[in-house]
Amino acid sequence: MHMSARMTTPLRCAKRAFRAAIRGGEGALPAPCRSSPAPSRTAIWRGWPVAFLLVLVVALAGCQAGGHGLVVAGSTSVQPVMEKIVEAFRRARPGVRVTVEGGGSSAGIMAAVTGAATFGMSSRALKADHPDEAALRVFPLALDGIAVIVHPSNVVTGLHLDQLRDLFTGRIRTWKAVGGPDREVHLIVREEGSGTRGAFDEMVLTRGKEHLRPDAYALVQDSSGGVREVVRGDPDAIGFVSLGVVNESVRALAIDGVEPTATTVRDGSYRLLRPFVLVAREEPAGLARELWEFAVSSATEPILAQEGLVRVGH
Amino acid sequence: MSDTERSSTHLGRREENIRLGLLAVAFSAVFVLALIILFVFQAGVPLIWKTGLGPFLGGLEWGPTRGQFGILAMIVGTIQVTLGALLLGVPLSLLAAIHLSEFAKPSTRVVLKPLIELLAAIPSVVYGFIGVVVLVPFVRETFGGSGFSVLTAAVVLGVMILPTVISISVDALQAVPHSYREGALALGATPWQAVTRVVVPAARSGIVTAVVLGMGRAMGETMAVIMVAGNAVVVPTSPLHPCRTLTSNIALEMAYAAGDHQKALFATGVVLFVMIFLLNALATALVRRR
Repeated sequence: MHMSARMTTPLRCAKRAFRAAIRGGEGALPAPCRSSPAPSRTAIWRGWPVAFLLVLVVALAGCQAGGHGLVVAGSTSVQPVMEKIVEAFRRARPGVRVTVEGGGSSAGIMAAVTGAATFGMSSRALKADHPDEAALRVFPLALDGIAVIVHPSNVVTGLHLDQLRDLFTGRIRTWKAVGGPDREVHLIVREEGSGTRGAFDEMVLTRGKEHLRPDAYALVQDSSGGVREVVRGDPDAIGFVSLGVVNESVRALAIDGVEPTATTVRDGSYRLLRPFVLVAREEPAGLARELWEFAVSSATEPILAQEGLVRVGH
Repeated sequence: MSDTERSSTHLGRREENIRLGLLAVAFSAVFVLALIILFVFQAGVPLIWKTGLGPFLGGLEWGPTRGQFGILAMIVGTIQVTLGALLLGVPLSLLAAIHLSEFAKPSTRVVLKPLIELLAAIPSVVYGFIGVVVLVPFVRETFGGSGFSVLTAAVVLGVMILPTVISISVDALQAVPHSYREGALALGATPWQAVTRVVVPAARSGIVTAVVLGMGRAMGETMAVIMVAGNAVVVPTSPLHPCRTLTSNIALEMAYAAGDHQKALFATGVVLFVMIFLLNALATALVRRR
């Protein structure tokens, strides 16, 4: 009789408490349940946070210990080629730790400013009017052509820079005006803040002091691959991407009569060019210097060529 | 009797500890919420302040790299896409729920309901991908334009909210006591009349909850919308125009944003947060009123 009472009361209490807790009411625990504890259990309960903290501390310490080595972070346009360069660097210098991270040009520049990254990668020129950025050391890595791409079925094969500007600002709205069919032009641009977009705005939409904006109805994609996929699927689309991203699913237009190729990018006859640069807070030393010297050595020429980039003379 | 009291006293402290433990767990969720609110508001509100609430909420120009922070187009875009999704998804969901709850054979229901709920398990990027590959070309060829549009986004989201709305509506309908249906039928109502005049009104609060949760899903969805909406910052005046939602704006530009641009994205988050908060408050008020 006594036994059964001992067993059932706490259970009933728990159920009542649970229901009360679910209702979210006051006094989640009814009065008869409040009383003194089983000491051993309490000790275990108390032990939990300590153990948890210990694990956390150990884990964090582990992260810290693994943090040696170089960090290269920034532009997602530069990232693919930098990863390949670093891969080759690791083969040449086994055992070194170099991490390559994305995040975008601005994030990369910020990481270099704060010292979070040894090198920041940027696919846009630094802002001279920004004191933090102006203080950085700039190491030009390569030149990238920006290709203007259309659907392979498009009959237009080339545009003048003025036509390109008129298209992207919405002054020309049909393909007819530039020698194509009488169909609406679908513009694809990159999102605001992207290095490719910044370079395009600067080279195509800026004339003197006049900074024009792409037409508001232009579709926005947040990656070069995204722009290419949209253009691939839409016969009336036009967009711009890094030359390295162009493949046979789209066609790159000649600008002012010059096709974008490695040769025309190198000799500067293709006009839509932008620099790929590494930036650093301090003059690189030790391993960082080695990585930099490796990156601009002739050993990386095939890698750059494969990515559609052109090495800058050193 | 005294023995019972002593044993409950003995176990009471343990119960108390469990209670405190559960309370801490319950509060951990609230704590995270508080942290998020604090963080987002701290990052976003100063920029709204600097821009001015009117120009920020009512501005049409979004040029974050040149200091223009107007998000009206995105607010309108979010509302249009969400309403479009509800317009397409809710009637379909309600009829499906009524069928499942009131007319389907138990064997059919057992098969259909889990299948519908499986829709919710498909990652949103897959919905977006199907949208890009199938729906966008279809819209382009059928209605014209680029195919990336409010309409396309609304259709994709309309499908995405089906499992949420159907499943909660079915539960709400099935929670209506059987005596209600029997009473209606006994008074001479046809089964359809019994459902529309008695069962559905009785399940109203649950159905409203279902719709609100669906609306929340539609408003908060990001990936699929980015992929099919076209993301142009314009106030769409036709269902075939592209649009950008508040969530897309954050996800789209976060990678390259720095300084005020980044703060402006947090400010976008603040607006989204307030909108969803108001929506939930409205829904709670609707359900309470009956």
